[in-house]
Amino acid sequence: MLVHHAVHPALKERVPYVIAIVSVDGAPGCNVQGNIVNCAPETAEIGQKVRAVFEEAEDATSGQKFLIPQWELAPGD
Amino acid sequence: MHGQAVVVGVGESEYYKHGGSPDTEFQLACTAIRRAADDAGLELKQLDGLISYMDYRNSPLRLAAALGFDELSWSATPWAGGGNNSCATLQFADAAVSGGYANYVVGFRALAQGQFQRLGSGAGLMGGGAPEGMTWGLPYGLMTPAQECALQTKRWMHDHGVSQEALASISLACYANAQLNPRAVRYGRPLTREAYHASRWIVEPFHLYDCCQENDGAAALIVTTPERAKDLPGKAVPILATAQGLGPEIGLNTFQQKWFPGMYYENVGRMIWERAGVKPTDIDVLQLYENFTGPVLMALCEMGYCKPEEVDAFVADGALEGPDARLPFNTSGGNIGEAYIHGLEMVIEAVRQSRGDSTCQAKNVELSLAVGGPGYAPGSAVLFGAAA
Repeated sequence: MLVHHAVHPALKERVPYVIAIVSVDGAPGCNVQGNIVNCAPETAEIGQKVRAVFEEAEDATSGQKFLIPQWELAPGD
Repeated sequence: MHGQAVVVGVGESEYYKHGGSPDTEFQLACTAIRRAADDAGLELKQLDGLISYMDYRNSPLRLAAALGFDELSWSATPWAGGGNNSCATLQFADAAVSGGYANYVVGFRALAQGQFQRLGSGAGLMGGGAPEGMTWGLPYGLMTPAQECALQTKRWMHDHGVSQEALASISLACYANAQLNPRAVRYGRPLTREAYHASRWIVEPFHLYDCCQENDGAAALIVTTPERAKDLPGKAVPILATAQGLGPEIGLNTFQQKWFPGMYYENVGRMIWERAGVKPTDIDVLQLYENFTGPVLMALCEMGYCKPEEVDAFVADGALEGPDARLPFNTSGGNIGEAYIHGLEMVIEAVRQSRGDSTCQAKNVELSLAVGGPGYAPGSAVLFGAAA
């Protein structure tokens, strides 16, 4: 799903961006939320295979850093 | 059929664009309740119950004091979500008067989004105020109802081959009906299919016109027993059936496989049809909460109006527009065309249809159904019979 409208100032530089629900292989019923990254946003389609990549994020209040899973199109798909 | 409680009064403030109200939210609430009491022929001091939903600002304690209630013997609010509970207010009011716990119960909702924050803004979630479950989406820029409903709608359209034109038809019906309603904020602002398609994307598949307005205003309804209603001057509209609830596992997370994509209205539909002993095609006029157009289509299907593969045809060719539509629908203009008072203004419109005083009045209304906001659980609905 392609997001055009930035609902928060922190997202102004990010639009348009893709939010996806990813079904995890081998874990039936496990749907996770994430972005599809490292591709032109309009090329992401329902049904494509993806693989996890990890992105560093920071809590704006505490400064604590942590890794969040993101998804990129799997090679050959 | 239930028929233990009736609506005897409805009231509204003026409706404004968001930020446009000269009055505070609390004043708007008081205005709507006062007008509902006037409509019912009741004095404010006779009112003794207050119910709202997703309202953490206009406390029944302060309202009862400000309005001069003799006694407040019932106050309640349904849990979770937002506009999904618009019709649950009527269920709670029905329970209160049918059970003998209160005499004249008010369901109300007030919004002043200039004084406070806009509901559709994601900004409020960043201050630690995110509802449980939503925190999983924030790091990914998934933080608004528009985005959540767009995810559901996108997958559902993909699975069933539903076209963008079907979404457009919902918005166009609301706009067409709003042109008959001088209260509507979009009155005098007709929408064409071309303008719909030309409007900017918010989040695909939602254009600007797929999204409801955000408004300032307040709405209120008063519920009592049929016996008490006999002493009042106006018409009484019977509550034939109400439903509120969620199916198994719905409360865990928004995007589970079992319910994705889904709007959580199957069980609400089933409860309404069973309790009233009627079926979707018996309904004479329908008010179905449009937070966004996609959820309307999905909820129509989940409640049994048609299959997803049939929904394009079901809503095509003006099928929902005007008083003589195949299915008279959102006849005041709804959240998209009239005003977004969190859907309670649509429950008022359902009552108007039963009383015969809508600006887009359907013929021979025996069954008038209002359905709360799809996409968020628990869902709710209320079915009214003809006024007496």
